[in-house]
Amino acid sequence: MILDATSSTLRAAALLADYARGRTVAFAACATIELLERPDIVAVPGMAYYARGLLRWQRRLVPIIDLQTLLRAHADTPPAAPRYALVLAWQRVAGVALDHGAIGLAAPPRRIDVDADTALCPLPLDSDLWPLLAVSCLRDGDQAVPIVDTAALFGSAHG
Amino acid sequence: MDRFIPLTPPEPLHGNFVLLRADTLRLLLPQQDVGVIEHLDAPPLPDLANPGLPSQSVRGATRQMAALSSRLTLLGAIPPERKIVTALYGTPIVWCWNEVRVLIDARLQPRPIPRVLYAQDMPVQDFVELGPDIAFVCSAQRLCRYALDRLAR
Repeated sequence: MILDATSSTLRAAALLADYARGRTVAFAACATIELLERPDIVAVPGMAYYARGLLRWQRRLVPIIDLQTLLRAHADTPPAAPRYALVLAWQRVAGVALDHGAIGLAAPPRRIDVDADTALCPLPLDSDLWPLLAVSCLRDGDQAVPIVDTAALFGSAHG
Repeated sequence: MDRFIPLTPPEPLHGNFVLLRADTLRLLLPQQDVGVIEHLDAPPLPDLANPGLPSQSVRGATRQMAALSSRLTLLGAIPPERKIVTALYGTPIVWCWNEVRVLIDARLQPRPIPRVLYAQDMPVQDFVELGPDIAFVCSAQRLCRYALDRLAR
């Protein structure tokens, strides 16, 4: 997260992304790279049930996944093509080049400031994957919003 | 989860290959995995006894035919635009494609499919960029096994 050194308290920015109706995740602002409208996606044959394929982005091909399908741990119906793709950065280990991945979204994310007064709460119980994917959980209104570790999200298969 | 297993860059590919297109899906196979390329004059009629594997009589012999979707599942019938047919090493089935191109003495640099996209029995692991297109590197054996396993389920 981006720390504001001019403030007497530590502050950070986060992006909140609605991955399904009424369900939101947070990413550190420094891990969010770009929002693409009408992303160009190439399906990969036999890919994981939650995968959407390879996203064409800045002369690269990066993986794009459907967070809702992953968290529900099964694909009942093929998800519709996402209107947006949020490109995220992650790092395999400190000191190596950043990797990138993306999630599909129906709406653009929104930015919030996080500081010492931001309320934290337990992870939601709607997915067994939260303890593996989230580093913490903040409260936004009456909603629990897991803060996702992008390396945990994109660094391995979840099948 | 197999977290943070390093990906070894695939070895460069050098040799003769065949590019097979099924709608938007492009597959790159070693040339020795692909049999004679023929033109299909008329698609076979759907076979209710063998959904996904219609048969056709050619010069007195009956052959089973198949067409793949862009997700590597067998289509129930052969679409009329699948006019190029090939045999694939390891099965007696004749496979129908939109387009077949032979790449002679090609030098290609495959790239690994990102690990987060992996499924347990995924038939492809690498892809190559051919101009604006992406082709997935595959062997005939893995391709046929994957498609026919799904037909049996």
